[in-house]
Amino acid sequence: MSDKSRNFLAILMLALLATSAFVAGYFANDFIEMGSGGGRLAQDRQKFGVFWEAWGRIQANFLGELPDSTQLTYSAIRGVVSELNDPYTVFVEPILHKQDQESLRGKFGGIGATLSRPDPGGAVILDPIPGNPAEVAGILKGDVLVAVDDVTITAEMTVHDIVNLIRGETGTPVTLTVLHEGNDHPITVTIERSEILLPSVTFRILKEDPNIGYIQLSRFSGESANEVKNAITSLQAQGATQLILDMRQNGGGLLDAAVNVADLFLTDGVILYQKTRGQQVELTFSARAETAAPNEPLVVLVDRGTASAAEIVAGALQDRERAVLIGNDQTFGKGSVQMVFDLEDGSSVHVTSARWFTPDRRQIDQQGLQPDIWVTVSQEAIDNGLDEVLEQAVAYFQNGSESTLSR
Amino acid sequence: MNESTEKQSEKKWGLIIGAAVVVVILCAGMGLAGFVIGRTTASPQTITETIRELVEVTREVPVPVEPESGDTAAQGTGNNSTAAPEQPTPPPVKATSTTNINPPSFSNAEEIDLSVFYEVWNLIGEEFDGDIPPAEDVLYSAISGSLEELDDDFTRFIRPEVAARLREDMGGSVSGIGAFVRENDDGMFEIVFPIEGQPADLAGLLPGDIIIGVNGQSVVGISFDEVILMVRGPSGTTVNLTVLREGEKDPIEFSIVRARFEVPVVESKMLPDQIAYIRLLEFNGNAEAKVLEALDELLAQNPKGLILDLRNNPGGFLNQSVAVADAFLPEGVVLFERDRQGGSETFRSDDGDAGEKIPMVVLVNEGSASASEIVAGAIKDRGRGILIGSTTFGKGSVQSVHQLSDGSELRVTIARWYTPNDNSIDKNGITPDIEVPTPEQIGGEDDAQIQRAVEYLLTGE
Repeated sequence: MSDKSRNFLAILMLALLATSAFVAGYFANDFIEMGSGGGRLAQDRQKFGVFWEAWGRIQANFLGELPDSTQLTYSAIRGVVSELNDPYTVFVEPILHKQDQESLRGKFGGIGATLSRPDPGGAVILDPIPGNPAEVAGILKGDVLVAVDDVTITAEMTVHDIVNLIRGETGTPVTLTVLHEGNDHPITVTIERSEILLPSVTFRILKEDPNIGYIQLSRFSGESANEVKNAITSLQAQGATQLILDMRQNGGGLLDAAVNVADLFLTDGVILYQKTRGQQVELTFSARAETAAPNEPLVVLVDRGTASAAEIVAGALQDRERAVLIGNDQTFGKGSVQMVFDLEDGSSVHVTSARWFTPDRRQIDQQGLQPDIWVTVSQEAIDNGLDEVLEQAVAYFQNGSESTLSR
Repeated sequence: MNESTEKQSEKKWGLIIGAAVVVVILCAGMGLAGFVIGRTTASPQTITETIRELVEVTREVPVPVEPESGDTAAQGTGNNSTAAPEQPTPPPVKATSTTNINPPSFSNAEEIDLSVFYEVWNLIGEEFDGDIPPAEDVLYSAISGSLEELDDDFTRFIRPEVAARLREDMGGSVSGIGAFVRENDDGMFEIVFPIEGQPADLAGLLPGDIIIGVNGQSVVGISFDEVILMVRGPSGTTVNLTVLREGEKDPIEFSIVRARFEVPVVESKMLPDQIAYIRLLEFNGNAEAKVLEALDELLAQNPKGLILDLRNNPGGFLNQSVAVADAFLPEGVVLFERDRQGGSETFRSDDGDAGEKIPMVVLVNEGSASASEIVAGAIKDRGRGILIGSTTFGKGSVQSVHQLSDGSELRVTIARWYTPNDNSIDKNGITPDIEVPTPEQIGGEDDAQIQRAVEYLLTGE
């Protein structure tokens, strides 16, 4: 495991914590209007008398305390939703739902720094995210966090606890006591909490080959397409003529973001078909002419954790023969579409309402995508921190496709 | 005021001590399977090592039922709500009907606002890309789901078809193929053993057989409950079973004519050295009668002592447990029961029963629950006998059974019970006087718990 990945992206983790189950492979479709009531279920309401009958008996007889009526209703909803046997149709309670949306939009209240603790119980190290308040206020990469407001950091506190101290309402101040690297005396820095832009993309020119630009896309937020576009532009300016788009462990996100990311590599044609239930309605998503990287040879890295929106991009680029998929496993196979409906009390419900098909009309759901080039990853390589899949991608560019495809 | 009447008749008929219920519910796949299965599958060759179910048929049998007044109320409320379907939300059931002599209190239930529920439900109905379950499944899963908020494993909702079966099970006389079955660790429908002389046994089914098809239809992946209902049918009708048997390459077909039989509830025999042995498998509606029958037969042979084996007995009816305890106890307290209003009720034994004098040992283990613990706790606290085996399950709550207007059943934890020395055994169980671990096979040749009981009865230590 690399140092980088060992670094605990604490702030991000907190935002994702409560919602990770959904973020990994769900896809929100915010623009679809909420349907009105009615339909077949309304006429079934008359049967619901038994519900109150049961609760009347409980109210009259139950030995313990009666639950909160709102929670009871939510539990009833969860009970019904589970009856559908669809892991992606879920009910989200109000608080959870808020965090959910925040993380999908890539914004939340904080100072814009990651926290890590390389040694268990040891020093807590700060790493500011460029352009965010912590960096602006003077926090440096490698600063040791001594205290948050008047609370001294102790070995017993988890990184999670500390993040909770730092986070707060947007616009309020938090004072950090930090020790710059090499200094003996801690200084205090007061930072106003604000919404933080969490990048979904990191990119670099590969050390192994300066012609290859490497883009890692970790999820699909509202900013993702812009971030990928900027990464492409920057890499091109640095001389990259070949691109690797790494979507391993990318669990998905917003549909629009997926379509827009695929669009960066395609000049025209179909990206995705979406069929609603009964296959009655089909939506076609197509590429537009403006294209950031129309011609550069492209490799997409995938694995078992490549899901949902990431599979849309990978599937479109594969079917359109725009990219070669390299990976050690097939992709996750999450190709159903959830509409997210906001309810009157702040809760929401995600309903599986359609399925996705690639430009060649392959169903993504449950099938997943097969890499064009399979890489068998050895345990020895993993132990030595080697990334054989990435190495294979580099070899593919350097040796040409023929030699590697025969593997 | 029918309050007391209802209370009494509930006491008489309606109370179920939960572990039996829970075990039954568990094997019916209603959400706690890991719990009891883990505890009970140690030795699948004998009936009590497993979760038990009977393959049988539905028929009118004299089973414990809800008090009449309760049923009337339930019917009344059901009618009320069906009469007003146009309302945006179903009217919380109110005791407006004059036929509702004894309405349950709905003052809090009324506050339950399901509008968000309907909102979700309607969205799913309009938008979900997949099969929408039938309306009753929605209702029942909503009720079961909402009950999760009570955080009580023993307050449970049971669908009508399952409830009907359970009522019959507990009645003690059923019809079917005559085999104990369970859902095994792989989720398959397994014969624990066929009951001797009954159709499954006569047809040649063996312990460990896996039923994979019923009447030509595959049952793999179908819920345990549903399979039971498929195997059952009226006495005299035929059911075809497709069975996988270890050592056989191909499935075997069986054609079995269903019959009515009594659920075995007591095993009794005279052990060497004139020790009487009575094993009670559960506290169903026949428990008292069968125990007394066995007791009379054995006492006539002048035994030196008696073993009452309650190992892996998951419980059953409260009234049966009191009656069974009474068979061995002179006048005195069997248990106290206290509800949330502070109401208390004392259940007593009286003098003059056949088993009050003979030296006795009660065998218990971690599978002895609920009604079994009532009997064991009373025998121990009253100094009537000693307990040998391992610590019992620890279920000290009482559930009342409410039959709802659609035939479904609600089991509500209404009280805790306490032993004659006023101890609750809830969660802790009862520690036996002499601890001996549960053997691999209960009732087998090397049953150390039985051996220790015999030794105690012969030597007095």
